[in-house]
Amino acid sequence: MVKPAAGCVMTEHRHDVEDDPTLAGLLSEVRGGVEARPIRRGNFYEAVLRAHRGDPETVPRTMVEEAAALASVVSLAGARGAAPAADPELEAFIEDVRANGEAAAAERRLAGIPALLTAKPARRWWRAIAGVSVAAAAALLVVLGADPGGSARFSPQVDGGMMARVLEGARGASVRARVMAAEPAAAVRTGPPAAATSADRDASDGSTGASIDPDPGTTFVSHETDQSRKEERRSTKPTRRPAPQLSEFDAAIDPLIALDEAAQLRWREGDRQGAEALFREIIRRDRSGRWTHLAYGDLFVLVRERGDQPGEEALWREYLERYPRGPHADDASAGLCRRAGAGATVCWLRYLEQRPTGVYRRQAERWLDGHAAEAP
Amino acid sequence: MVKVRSIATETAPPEARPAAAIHALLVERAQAADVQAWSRLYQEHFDGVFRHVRFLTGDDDLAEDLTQETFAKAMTSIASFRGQSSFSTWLGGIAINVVREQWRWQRNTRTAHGRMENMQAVEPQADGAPERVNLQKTRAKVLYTILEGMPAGLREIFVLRDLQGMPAREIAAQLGISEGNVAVRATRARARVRAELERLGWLSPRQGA
Repeated sequence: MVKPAAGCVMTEHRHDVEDDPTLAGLLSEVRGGVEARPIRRGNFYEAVLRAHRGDPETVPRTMVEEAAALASVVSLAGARGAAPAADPELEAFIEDVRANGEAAAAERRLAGIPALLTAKPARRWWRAIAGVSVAAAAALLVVLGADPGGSARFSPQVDGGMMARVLEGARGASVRARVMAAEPAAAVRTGPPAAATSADRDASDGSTGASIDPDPGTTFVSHETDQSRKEERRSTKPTRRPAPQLSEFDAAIDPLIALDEAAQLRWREGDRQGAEALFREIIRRDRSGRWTHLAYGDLFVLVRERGDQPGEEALWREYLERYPRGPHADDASAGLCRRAGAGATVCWLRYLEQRPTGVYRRQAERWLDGHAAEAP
Repeated sequence: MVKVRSIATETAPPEARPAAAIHALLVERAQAADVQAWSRLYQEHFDGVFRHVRFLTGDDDLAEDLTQETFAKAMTSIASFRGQSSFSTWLGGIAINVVREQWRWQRNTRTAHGRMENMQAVEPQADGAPERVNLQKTRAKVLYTILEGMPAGLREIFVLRDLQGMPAREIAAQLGISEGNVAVRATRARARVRAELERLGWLSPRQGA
């Protein structure tokens, strides 16, 4: 019998190859060999960069910058455990509940990074920076474009705060504006409009935020310029996406959904520390791990946005300690190697050893080719 | 763009509607050059496209590269997606075109005939051979070398139908041909593969054939 490939639905009977058992046997063996090999992980940034190079009009530079600033998007489906189906009825019930949670999570991921600043001030800020130092910004963007692996993007020579501001500005001018414009359809919502407010109250009544442990080793450093602060003050009425709707049913089934919504709301309102605290709370409470990786993804973005390089590195280390094979582990490992300074060669060697099929292996190989003399 | 959503919600079973609606919305946003929507689509479809391309090429490194190329092409041509097929079928069609380009390039730069000669030097082994994994690898190599020497139209059908196990309906949609045409090409392709495997000594001639 010829088995279908994973992810492929067989809906019809096969008579053709089955009529030829020897050929079928050989094909089955070849198929098994191909499928036994692990699936590679894609690098979204590189795909966008490639698209930009192919058609810079359809995929403008701003899209590449946005892709560079995005944290990994975590597939909750992949994080699901495969439980034995000892009780099919119970399994079906759990599956329904799980699907409900998945839909909420999908909606939350669809919402993306909350809109904090208005598009206008960010654009003005970007223009101001560009006006003052066009050459510096252009050089930076050239570096971004010239290095698909991103080795120079976060190298110690590049000011992390500056990079964060460049990316922040780019995103403020485009993604947020588009996200605001493309409001999710009512069809994907699951509850009444007032539910989000009550969920927020529930999540922020003091019991959650107060119990958060501060991120060890993280120093909160503001990299904002006076100019950007002025711009922010000038924006009298921030344009925001309306808060995602949350049903009480969702919140009752999974309080983590409520926590996540509350964190998103805080973030949109500009309370980044509050948002971080709630993401930390999600990580502390989440026993299944389904929401943890999403929360870490948001924390990575938050820390990067405030230009806190030591904080970002501490977060990567923390994540790797907890989830050495987690969905962000590859990004975190590569990030640490880029910042490793004198230890970069050893770091990349270790990366290749631990992650022979890692997304950044080509970057590691390029680095090692250029620094062969430093290898231990 | 509204059309995309209506198709997804009307044809999907009730329980799948939220996911289908979300997916349709993602595609709409991707059409509006929303990078976050693209990142999500990339995340959801990468594995499927990678598997698809790996079956077609038999090479992990090449599959990774061509999968990236597939997404890059999809990003630049998303405006042409009208929702007449599912997004994954549309993406699969792009992947096949990308692979075809690669095959054309390979044909111009290498000689499949030369590799076929080398394959004749590889002695077929009995199934009970101790190095089972090596045997499996060798068989894969032989099969993909045979496929390299075949016309693209037969090669892709054989891989999709007989190796990947894809339904004829889906193959027809991805290639833009009829299911009957898929069946005809699949029979031809299979006969050709069998003949080559017999010639190289990997299969015995069929009795009565």
